[in-house]
Amino acid sequence: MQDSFSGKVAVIQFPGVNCESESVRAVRAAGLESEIFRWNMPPQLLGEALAVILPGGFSYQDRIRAGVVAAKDTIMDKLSDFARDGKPVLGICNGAQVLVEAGFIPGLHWEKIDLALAPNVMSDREGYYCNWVHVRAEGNNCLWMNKYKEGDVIPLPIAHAEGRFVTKDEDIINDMHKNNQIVLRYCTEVGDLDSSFPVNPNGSVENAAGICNPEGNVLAMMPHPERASWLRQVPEDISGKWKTKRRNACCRPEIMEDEGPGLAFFASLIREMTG
Amino acid sequence: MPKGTVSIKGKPDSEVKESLSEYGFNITVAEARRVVELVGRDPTLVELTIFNTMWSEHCSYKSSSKVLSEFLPTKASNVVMGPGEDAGVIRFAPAGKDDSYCLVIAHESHNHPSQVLPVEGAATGIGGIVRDVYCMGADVVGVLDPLRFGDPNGENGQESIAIARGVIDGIAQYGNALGVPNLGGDIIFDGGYDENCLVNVVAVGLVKESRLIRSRVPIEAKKIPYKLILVGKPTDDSGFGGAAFASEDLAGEGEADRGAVQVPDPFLKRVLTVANRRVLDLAHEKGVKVGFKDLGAGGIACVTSEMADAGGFGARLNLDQVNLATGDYSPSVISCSETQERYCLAVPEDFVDDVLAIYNEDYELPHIYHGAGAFVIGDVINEKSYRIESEGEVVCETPVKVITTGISYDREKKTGKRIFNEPELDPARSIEEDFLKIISSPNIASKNYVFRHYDSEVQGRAVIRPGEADAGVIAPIHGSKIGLAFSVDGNSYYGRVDPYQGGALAVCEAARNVAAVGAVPSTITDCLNYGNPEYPEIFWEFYEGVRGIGDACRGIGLIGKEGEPLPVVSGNVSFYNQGKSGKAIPPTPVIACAGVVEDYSRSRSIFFKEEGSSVFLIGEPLDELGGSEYYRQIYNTSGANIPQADFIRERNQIKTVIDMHGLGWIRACHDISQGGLITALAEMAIGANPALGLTVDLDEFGRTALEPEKLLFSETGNFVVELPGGIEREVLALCARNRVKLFRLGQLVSRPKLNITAGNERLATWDIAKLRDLYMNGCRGIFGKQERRISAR
Amino acid sequence: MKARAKLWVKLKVTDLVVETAWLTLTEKLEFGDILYGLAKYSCWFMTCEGKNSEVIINALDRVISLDSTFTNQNKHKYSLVVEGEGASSGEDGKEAVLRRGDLQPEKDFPFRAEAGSAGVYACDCMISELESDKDKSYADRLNGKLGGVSVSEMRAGLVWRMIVRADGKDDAAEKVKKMAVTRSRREGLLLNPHYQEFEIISTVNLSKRSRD
Repeated sequence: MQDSFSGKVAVIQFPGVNCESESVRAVRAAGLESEIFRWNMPPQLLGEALAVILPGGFSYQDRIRAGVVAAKDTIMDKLSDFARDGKPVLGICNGAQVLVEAGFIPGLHWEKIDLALAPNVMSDREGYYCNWVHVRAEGNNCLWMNKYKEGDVIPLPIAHAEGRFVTKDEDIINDMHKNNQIVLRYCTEVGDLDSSFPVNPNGSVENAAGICNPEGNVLAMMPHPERASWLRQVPEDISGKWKTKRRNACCRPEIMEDEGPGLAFFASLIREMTG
Repeated sequence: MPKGTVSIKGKPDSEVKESLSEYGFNITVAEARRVVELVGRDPTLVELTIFNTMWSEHCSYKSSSKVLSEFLPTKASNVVMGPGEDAGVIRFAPAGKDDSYCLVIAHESHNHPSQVLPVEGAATGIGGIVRDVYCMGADVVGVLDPLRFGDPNGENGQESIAIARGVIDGIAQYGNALGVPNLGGDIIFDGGYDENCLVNVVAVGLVKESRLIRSRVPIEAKKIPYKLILVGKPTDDSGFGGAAFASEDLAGEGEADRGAVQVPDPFLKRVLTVANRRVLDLAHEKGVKVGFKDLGAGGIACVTSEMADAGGFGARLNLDQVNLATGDYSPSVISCSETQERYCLAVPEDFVDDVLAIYNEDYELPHIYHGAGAFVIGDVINEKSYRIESEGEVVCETPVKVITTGISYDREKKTGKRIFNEPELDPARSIEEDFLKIISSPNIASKNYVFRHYDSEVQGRAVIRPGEADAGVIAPIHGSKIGLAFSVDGNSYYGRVDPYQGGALAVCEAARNVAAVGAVPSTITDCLNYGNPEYPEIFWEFYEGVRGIGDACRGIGLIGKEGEPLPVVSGNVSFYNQGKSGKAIPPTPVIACAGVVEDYSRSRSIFFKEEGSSVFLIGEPLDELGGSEYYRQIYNTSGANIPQADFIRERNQIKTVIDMHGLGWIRACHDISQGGLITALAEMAIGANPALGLTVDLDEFGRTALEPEKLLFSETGNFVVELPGGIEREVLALCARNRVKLFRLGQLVSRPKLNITAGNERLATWDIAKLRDLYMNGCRGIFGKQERRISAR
Repeated sequence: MKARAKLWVKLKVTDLVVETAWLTLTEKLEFGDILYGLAKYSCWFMTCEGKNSEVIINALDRVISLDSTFTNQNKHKYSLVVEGEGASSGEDGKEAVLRRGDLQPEKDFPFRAEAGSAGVYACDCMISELESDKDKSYADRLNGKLGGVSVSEMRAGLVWRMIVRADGKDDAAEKVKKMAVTRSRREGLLLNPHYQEFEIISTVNLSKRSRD
């Protein structure tokens, strides 16, 4: 465990998360320093961090509701200040659930609960669903996506049972659109939006896969970029242009270690730092 | 002299029997008398409880151990640790100077609990098997789950479906939350499992050889004082008698059966895993030697006595120090309950505070899980005795060897008489129509409903995922091109006709599967599922199965190491698989094979890749349709001519496929198993992206060949490969060199149809889109969203 | 005949969700001075049709004891109550009420903190999912197995029993709502109103009893 997080990306390890190690690995592959931050470490250490990632898993066993217990943890007081200072915060999968339950996302009214990540709705099956999907980069508002261009189609894996962004309040959707907050949307391999399963794998409103706050420094996304940070992690039969890249790496192990489609989420931090 | 003994000495058999059954013990009167002999007096209730567990079939292998050691090869140059500890270990890659990366593998069954309580039973199965790998100091990098369920369309169809769904949920709930990816598995539906499903589980882990942890008190305890620490969930009475439960026939639906099922908790396991890693790393940094073992069958008494004895020590425990769940528990329950999510550590006294601080303060076990934590529960002693105290009284006191000494039986075996006949083929049947039935049958159709329910991506090591090829492949070492491949197999339909072939073919198919992704089959584990071994015919099935496995391991061997067998490094025997009607399951040896891939970038999915590629069949389809999907679906019979394992042919074909991978030729490769050649081709076409088609001319097989339906549906274990065009001469030369038969099946075209011709005669044509639809949805009725039926009134 | 059936199921062992909810409500969300006790049940309330109450309760009892969707005897206690509708089979004109199981929710008030002198109320707050077809699915599941008895209406959900300090029923309801509905990071815990709804299904005044 570290005693300083200055200049590093802190990956918060709430009890029960399980993607902390590969998240650290992916951030390092992007050229940044990163360490695991155990949830009960002194909060001031977190304040020094360059950025904070809430990784995937099952924080507090999804007790009561996915993400809600961690959302009320003491360390979140510090993270709230951190996020309001405009520093980068990324929640992946369970991390996204924490950010929604903490009211950082959509963040139209800070810490107010305007959204939920509800159980998946799928046409032919129920519960947990793991597969590769395509998401489309929207707008240029989000700090974590400044290496992607508008309209980029990004293949990423999802693995969750509660990933359906939903709100009771239509105005929230309008406001999120106005602010360009829905920055990742489920789409076909050529970038078409289709609201039916399996293109939209969980019934998410507006095909939302990732939503940022109006300022763009906090992002909650259900897909796992850390599982798509090297070319070898991409299935060779995936549709779209990544298939060509991946198949070209067959029998060429050195190319397998090239950048995968998700690495740019982490690499975007470098551009953020250097301006 | 301890208090509270059970009187056996001098009592007549009838009275002993009565008191044994009063306590709910399974051990026989003769065994109880043997206990008296060993202890030298009447045993205490705690002692008798310990023996009842340790001498259960599940723990003692009392019926099986002799057969296993007679037939199974366990030594080879890659083996670090064979059967005996919690898991087997092989080395697979160098790790700098003087060290190696090792694969740790363990394989178990959790059949009875899953039949009774599918969700909890299956989850506990995963929970138990990963502990076996973790406690070797390894990180678990995957699980696989071979499952056998009853016939969904049979008499017990609804129940079989409910069990299947529950088991899948249990596996998903545990594995997903723990953060261990699912690397594969298989499912077979067969009426033989209507009353007794099989839930086998395999866990695989990684560790450097220098960091292997032994399940024993370290030798350093001779010089410095060592303490025993129990960590994890508070002990309760869940799973009390579990080992015994696994060692008897399933009686019915009584409540007594349920008491033995444990309550699993992947969340606590995850936190424990992180904390254990910290403890083991700190011990390594400080140069402290520790012993580490998980608690399974037999609980605290079993783990502490085995750790002490394995190190050549004794132990003294105080049950008052054990953290308990709310409730009142007797010393026997505390000693032997199978409460999940617990480990035992033997650490030097001056390291105890560090260990307790990591568990109880850094990871706040007591805070995040009511009653959990790490506690010192006893001392290691140089004297080789084993003593348990509770509330100031001695409740168990014997030489430690007495507890760990097993028992063994020579069971009687009797050759089973089985008569099977081949069906007469009906020339009026249409291959085109018949195949639509095969491709959508539950045993053939896609299991995407199942594997999409599991997290296959967590940890980020996946290269080939379930459903993409015959074996799952991971890139285990960051930055290295070495890959590991895993597969599980065991076809009940063959073993039913001939239990020897059932065992041998399971090894062949598992080995073939890892070869199909370019891996050298490097070790196997076996989970041997049979009925009640006290029946001579069942014991014969078991004996034959093990003999078949042993022959196959020696016959296929370790490719690249002339003369060495494919070693069996771990396994499990599960007897008493028979349900309430007394009908035993078909003999089901299940094999897990691990293979090492020199370069994972050469491992390809089974799906056709490129227009213009040539498609070949390696090996010849033989008249071996006994037990085939075709005979069962179309002629409603098993048939007699099951595939006959030919180890030389297997080895040559496996070697050829590995050679082709090494040469970088393979674009797609799929072995032939259930459903035969045509099913393999359809599966390869169904997932092709972009869509590709193929025309196969059966005249390629020559004039003396089998009937078309036999060629297409025979389950002889061959391979289909897609290779680049224009290298036909080299391909022929390689196959001649390796003495394998080769048939050219055709060339891939962009028209998405699968055609079968015999010269100019068209035998069948299928639209690949239609096949895809049938294949992808064949299991929807079993695993998909439950249809909302209108209430029957 | 028609009958109303109520199934309450509770964990035998420590319910970690309740432990966590208690700690979060009393320590993180500062409801420590008004919350005295907390319990959680899975509930299924249904209308059944069958020959008579006896037949109905026997059929239900058999199915729920064997199907771990409802109860798992290893882990749960349960209470099954069947109340005949309209038809009075008791001789004194009372409705026949039949009971099964080892749980008595009407007497289960697990206090965790010393109740003060002010009013004490136990509110049962039922949480269910918006636009979910789970109720239908449970009814189908039962109907597939009951035989001779059918379930027509079903309402299933999680019931949180919250024992609170309050000045009267309305105040109790107000306080329970505050604890239940998550409005912000610092307000509410038990449900997210964007996909879940809640209803207070009963309120019991415990003030007198606790003083007796």
